[in-house]
Amino acid sequence: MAIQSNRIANEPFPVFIWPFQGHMADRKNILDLYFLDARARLIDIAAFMDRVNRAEGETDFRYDQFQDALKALESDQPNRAENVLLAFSDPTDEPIPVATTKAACGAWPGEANSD
Amino acid sequence: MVSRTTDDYQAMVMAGCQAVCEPAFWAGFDRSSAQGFYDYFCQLTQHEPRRASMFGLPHYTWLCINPKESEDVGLAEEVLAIIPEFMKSPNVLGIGEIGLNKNSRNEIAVLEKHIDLAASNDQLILVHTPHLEDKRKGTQLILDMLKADSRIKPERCIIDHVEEHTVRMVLDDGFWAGMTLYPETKCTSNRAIDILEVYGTERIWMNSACDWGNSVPLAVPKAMQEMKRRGKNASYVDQVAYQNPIAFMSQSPRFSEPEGV
Repeated sequence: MAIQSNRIANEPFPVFIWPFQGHMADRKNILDLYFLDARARLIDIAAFMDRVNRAEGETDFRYDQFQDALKALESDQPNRAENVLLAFSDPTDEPIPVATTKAACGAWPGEANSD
Repeated sequence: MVSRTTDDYQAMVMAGCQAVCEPAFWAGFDRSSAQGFYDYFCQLTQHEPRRASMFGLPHYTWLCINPKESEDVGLAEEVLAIIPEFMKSPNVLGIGEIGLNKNSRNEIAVLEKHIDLAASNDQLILVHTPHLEDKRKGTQLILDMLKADSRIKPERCIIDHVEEHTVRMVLDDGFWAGMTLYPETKCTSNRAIDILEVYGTERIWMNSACDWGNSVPLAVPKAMQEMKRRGKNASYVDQVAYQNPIAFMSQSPRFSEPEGV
């Protein structure tokens, strides 16, 4: 069965009406639902990078991994979120000798700097 | 729930929540002695169920010393020694949330003791996986430890805080996967629904974080609304938000399916 339109006819731009229960969302539906949110988050990321650029001093491993993670977005594979998470992950397999903090910083500092 | 207000209980009931399932948790600061844990376990098994019952909400709990406090093995052993006394309480579903935080050797030693305690007493297991950069490695270490103990049945363990890079390894090994919803960190509602779309709805649940940090007790009801926005039907939403938690927790003889649903 064809998915019924979720838009008001003759509107100059999409007007989404929810819910459309029982019908799986198609790509346009997904864009209707999430495009503006994703657009805002993307601008936030760009602004964050601009902010880093404007500041003085050196960046560290967190920003290096952030830039590596961005490459996952250029992929056409359907596991971009997984690859972004892996870009920030500790790639080693052995336990660390001792935990000297409870906190995680969001990026792996490297074996030399790990707890 | 020990750090939430009664307003939260009221909002949860009004949103249709049927039961609370509260793991032993890190308080945001380290407790100074095993006696502090004794009092906390009294709170989880006596006071908090009474408080929840004032709102008609069944309250279940899990017991352990959280991995964030597991670096001190001596303290952990003292706490482990008092847990069996509380396991007799009628609202205790099992041992949790155990696991790892920074993936250290001491954390692993304490996790082994928790696994042994659960296996020796035929308890369900609720596992906390590490945060952020430590999650992938920690989840794999935890799964390897659970699989190495022949007494552990994967279908009686739920591995919580899965994300896109860990959910596959959890499900492939036969464990349940949990997605605790947070507004920003860890797993958001939208990402949880994405994971369901990719990996299906078998042996996976979502639950609301209700801790002392930035968390939303109504995260699951909100995720249910989001599933409907994506076109999921009522049966799908019911499976994820209600039937799956019931199926897992019903493995404990202490758990009763809520009446009137």
